[in-house]
Amino acid sequence: MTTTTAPTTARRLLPAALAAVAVAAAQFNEPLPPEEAFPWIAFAEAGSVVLSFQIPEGYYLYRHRFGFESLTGGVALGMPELPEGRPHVDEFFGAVEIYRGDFQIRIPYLRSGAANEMLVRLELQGCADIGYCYLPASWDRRVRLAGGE
Amino acid sequence: MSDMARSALLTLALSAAALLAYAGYRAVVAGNMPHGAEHAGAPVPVDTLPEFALEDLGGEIRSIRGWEGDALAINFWATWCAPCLREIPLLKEFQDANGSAGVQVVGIAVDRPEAVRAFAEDMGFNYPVLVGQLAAMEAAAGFGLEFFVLPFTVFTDRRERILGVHSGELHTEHLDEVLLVLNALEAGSMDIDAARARLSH
Repeated sequence: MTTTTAPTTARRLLPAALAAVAVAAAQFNEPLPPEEAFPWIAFAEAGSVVLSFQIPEGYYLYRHRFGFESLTGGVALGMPELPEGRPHVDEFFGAVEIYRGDFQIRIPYLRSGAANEMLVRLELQGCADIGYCYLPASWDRRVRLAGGE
Repeated sequence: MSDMARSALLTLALSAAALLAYAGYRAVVAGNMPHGAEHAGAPVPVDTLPEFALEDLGGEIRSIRGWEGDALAINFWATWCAPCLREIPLLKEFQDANGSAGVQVVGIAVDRPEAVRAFAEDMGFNYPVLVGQLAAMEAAAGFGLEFFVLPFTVFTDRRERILGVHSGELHTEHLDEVLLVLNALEAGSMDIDAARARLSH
């Protein structure tokens, strides 16, 4: 017999609820706010910062528009490991890669000081299939580093 | 009840709640006009054309009030935005067909001037294009809109009253609807509230 805890249930149901909001917004041709169109979380794992995205249906991010920066002294970011995107032929910009749905970006970090957390800046830009694009966005998020309290 | 059935019911309930909540939210804000203090802190759409001025592609400062007596289609766009570029030919046709009747398209590029000038050489705009980065974003904010996507187009009547805002790519049917409303306003067969309601869906 399996039991479902409330947080697990919420995690499982959240995508459905987000999808419902996205569908509702699309019906009204209304753009979702950027934080709902491109939700992400950040955490540290095995020497890397992991940015985990869960993009609702109908929205996508451009692979070439990502930017990453550490805003914390003593913590440097290495080369990001971006997963392969989906090919997307844009009538104006040619062949590009985009991300839809769930994906993760890993960025190795190097600590030279005693910092136990870092502030990571993420830049991204994406669009919605129903005919609009989001302004380039820049978001900062704190990440607790492994070994930090 | 099994876990699966409970999950399905919860999913259904959450989805329904999301749809209802969104529909309710849309019903409150969709009128394009202020609805009072229920959204304290959120931008409040204005009902008349705000004053602002931006450079055109020749470097001349142009006031948005410079087309007095014309009904305006103020189109916010950028060169990196595919849907924005897709709708420009339609806006050019709209300008060609209706310019002599006092309908004026004004493009506002939220972008780097040099990028817009390079693009404009190929595009051959038949309507004025103003350009700016922060200044253009401030101009958009002057309409009292939550501004995070492009393109969007603000429509006014000849008396600088804002009729509606269309977020996203324009299609022929949207512009036909605007013309219908402008003509009805002109003829006196529709009042401003009805015009705004008609363009708010």
